[in-house]
Amino acid sequence: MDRNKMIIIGLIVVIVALIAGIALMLTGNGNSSDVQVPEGMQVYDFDSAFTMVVKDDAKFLKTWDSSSLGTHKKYFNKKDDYVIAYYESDVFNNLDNLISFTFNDTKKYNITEDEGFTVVKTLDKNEKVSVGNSEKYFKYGIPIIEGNKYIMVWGNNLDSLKEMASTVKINGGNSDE
Amino acid sequence: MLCMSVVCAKDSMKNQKFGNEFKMDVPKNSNFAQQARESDENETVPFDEKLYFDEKNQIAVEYINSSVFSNNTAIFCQVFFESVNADLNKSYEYQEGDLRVMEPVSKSSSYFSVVGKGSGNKFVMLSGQDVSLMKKMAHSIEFNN
Repeated sequence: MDRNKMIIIGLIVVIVALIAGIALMLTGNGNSSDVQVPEGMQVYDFDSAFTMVVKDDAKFLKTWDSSSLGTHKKYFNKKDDYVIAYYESDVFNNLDNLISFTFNDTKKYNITEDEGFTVVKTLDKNEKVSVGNSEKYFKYGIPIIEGNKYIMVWGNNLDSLKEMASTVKINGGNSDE
Repeated sequence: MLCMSVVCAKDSMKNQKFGNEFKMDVPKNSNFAQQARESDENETVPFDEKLYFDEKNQIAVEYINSSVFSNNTAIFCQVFFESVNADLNKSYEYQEGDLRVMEPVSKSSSYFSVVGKGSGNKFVMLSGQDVSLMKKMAHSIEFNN
């Protein structure tokens, strides 16, 4: 890394951060959280889009891309075997829209309500979630939507998924109202 | 034995002031020179930004004081990581206390890890290849009020 590259990087950081800053001003800033955090857990900041309580030692394989459909990030926790997928898109702006668009095949998915959560059960083991360079089957998924922000928590332990999903606070959202 | 290793660790570091903004432990053999940045006369970014680079250890340090951001270390880490690794779209990421760490999945001399620490509107981003050294440095950051 040479000096010139660093200067260019500095410029890029300022420009990108300025754009992100304006977006934050529009959506609401800060990650203040009233979530009770048990010992051994922490509030994890998912790129200032949302927060969720995870284990202190949580380490994620994170992937990201942007397209005309919006921003898409995935956080795969290999140790505890779950994926948090985040989408920012105007395509999915409510849960009914999402379900009818993505999980409408009753041979592949079973949709139920469980303790206030919509639970997607993956019936077809060929339906996989991409993690890094590979794909993985997960038994359950819990979608959370607020505005144009859509989070999907995928894993195999439903109780654990519900516990994590209950701590999601979307930045600029109304989940704590 | 533990004390001896702590002394050893401290012996290899010195405490350095970075302007009036913050101070941080850095390797004794380092020389963090502030990099000049050409500014646009019409630039109205709500930032105070300073960039330092140590050629010896190949570590870059960026300080940002923003009137827009507050407690958004994660965003700056992501932006910085993408800036130094333009062709990557994945990383390992974790929080360690008040530090945010992003490491390239592929080990290569052309990819760099990023360690970030923030306090309110102030952020310091470190970029380089020796993650444990950068974490040690970042843990020691003290922002001036």
